Amino acid sequence: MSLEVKGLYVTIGDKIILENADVTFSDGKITSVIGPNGAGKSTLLRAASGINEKIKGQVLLDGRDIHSYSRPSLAKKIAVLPQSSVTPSDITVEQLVDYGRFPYRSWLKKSDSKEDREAVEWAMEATRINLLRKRQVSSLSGGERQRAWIAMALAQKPEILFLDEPTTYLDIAHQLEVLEIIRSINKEWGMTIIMVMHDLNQAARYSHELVVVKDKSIYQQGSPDKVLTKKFLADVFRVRAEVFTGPDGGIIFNPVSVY
Amino acid sequence: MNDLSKRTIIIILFAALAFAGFIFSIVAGSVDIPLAEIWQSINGTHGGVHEKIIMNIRLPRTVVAVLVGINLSLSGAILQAVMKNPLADPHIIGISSGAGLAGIAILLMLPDESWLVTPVAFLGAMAAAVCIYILAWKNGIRPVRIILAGVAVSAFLGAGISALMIFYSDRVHSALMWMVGGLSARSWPHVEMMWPYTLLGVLLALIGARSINILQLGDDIAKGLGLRVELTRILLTAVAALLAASAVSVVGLLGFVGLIVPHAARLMVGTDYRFLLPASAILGAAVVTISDTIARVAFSPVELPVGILMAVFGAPFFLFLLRREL
Repeated sequence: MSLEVKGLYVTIGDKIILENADVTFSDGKITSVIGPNGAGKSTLLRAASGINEKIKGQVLLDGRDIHSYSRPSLAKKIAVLPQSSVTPSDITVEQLVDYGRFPYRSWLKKSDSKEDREAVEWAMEATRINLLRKRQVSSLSGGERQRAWIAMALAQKPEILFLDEPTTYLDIAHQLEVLEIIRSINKEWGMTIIMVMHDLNQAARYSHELVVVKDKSIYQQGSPDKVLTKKFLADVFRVRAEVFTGPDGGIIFNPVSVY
Repeated sequence: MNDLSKRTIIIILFAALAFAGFIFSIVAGSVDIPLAEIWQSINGTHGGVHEKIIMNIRLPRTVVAVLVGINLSLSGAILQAVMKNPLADPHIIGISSGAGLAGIAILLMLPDESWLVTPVAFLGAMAAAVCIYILAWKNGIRPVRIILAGVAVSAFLGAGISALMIFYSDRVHSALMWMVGGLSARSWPHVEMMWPYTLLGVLLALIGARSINILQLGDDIAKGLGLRVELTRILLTAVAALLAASAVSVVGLLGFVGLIVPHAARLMVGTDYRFLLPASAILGAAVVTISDTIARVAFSPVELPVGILMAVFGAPFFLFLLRREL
């Protein structure tokens, strides 16, 4: 399923957040959006996923304007996990994941279909949360809770999954756990993943492509080894850094100082 | 599964309480009527003064209490989710101040036309709600803006209420009863006016329960799950407004029901609106019928407006809830 952003222009109030942004997201790949704070990463994600309806320019899903899809039909193709979410105090993991089937139900057809139950089971297995299904979401650790939310998004059976900083506030073990799950979802089911990332090494390691947002527009797009250069780090983050090729061929960068 | 049956049992208990309240309300009163005669009256085989008391006074009043309880509690439960604010109740969307000003204007300026109170108060309540909506509209509806617009409009209309009461201070007694909220002398015409709204509200609320659950996850998540967030919020607020306006225009500014009953129900059945809405509706019916009966008989022969009783018990209970939850 192709996703293309053309001439995107987003304002919040009087402030221009993004202007003239063009991105083509690669189908079936993991793409990370990186850039400094306030550059417009989350704004790009919200526009590209169709959550923000008040945009100028175009977002094309399979060549069709994303806002010409109805909300429920869009929710069957695209799942979005924003950065902040409210967890009701008394909901179990299984119930939360089951909310992912919302777009497939209507008030005429409320009962669970076999398909609904299978999707929920599959989502909980893919995120390795099935043993915690009866637990209250509010009682889970940060990493487990994030996996539960991802499971909810997966239960939508989307073709594209958007994640806004999925590893924020998690310790390093839980960060890697979440990223491994994201990678395996992409690998095994070919789901397109588009996420905002803060940690450049992790972004490089887990993504096929990087999209760099800087100063309200797209600075660069390409594979991690092409994007993560000394010049890029100096230009975009004002950081002097050493860049290595790791033993597995991946890019590792080591920040040294701020220019 | 365990959770499910626990919640079902609680709802059944609420229903039993509501039924007991209904019977209590019909049996208790200043005239002692034996149970056998009550049954005959309802059958229509009795025919005396007692039948008149039962059929024309107690039964309709009890039915009004049930409808008011359902309407206000459902309205509050819906608004608390839609506004994402645990303190939301029908006051917040201007229902009370709108109905209050309109009702008091009639009671004070046209005291001989008191039949106008209910329809005019209904119009006043809806006008205030629409007004708040328009004021809060700016690229869509945000709960915070509704709450702020609600405070401003209510203060504005409150000034009107105060002014009227000062200009017509000799007739203030009837206005006071209306401000507190009471069921005295409410009968079949009021039932006829209210039940269609109750029916419509209950149906729409039950259809919307799953959407309300999704709405509680936050706007972005809800949109991502395919909910039309703006539209849902507008429709649900309209349902809540109709429910509350129909109740308030009949009984006056009965407070606390819409705020406290949903909270109490939430403590017991949790936040899943598929259970919370029916639980609130049934508990609301029970609370208003029982409170009204107590208000009616406790200080006999003086009849207390149920609004006073609701506030006396409601306010401490509300503080208890707050301390427990926050």
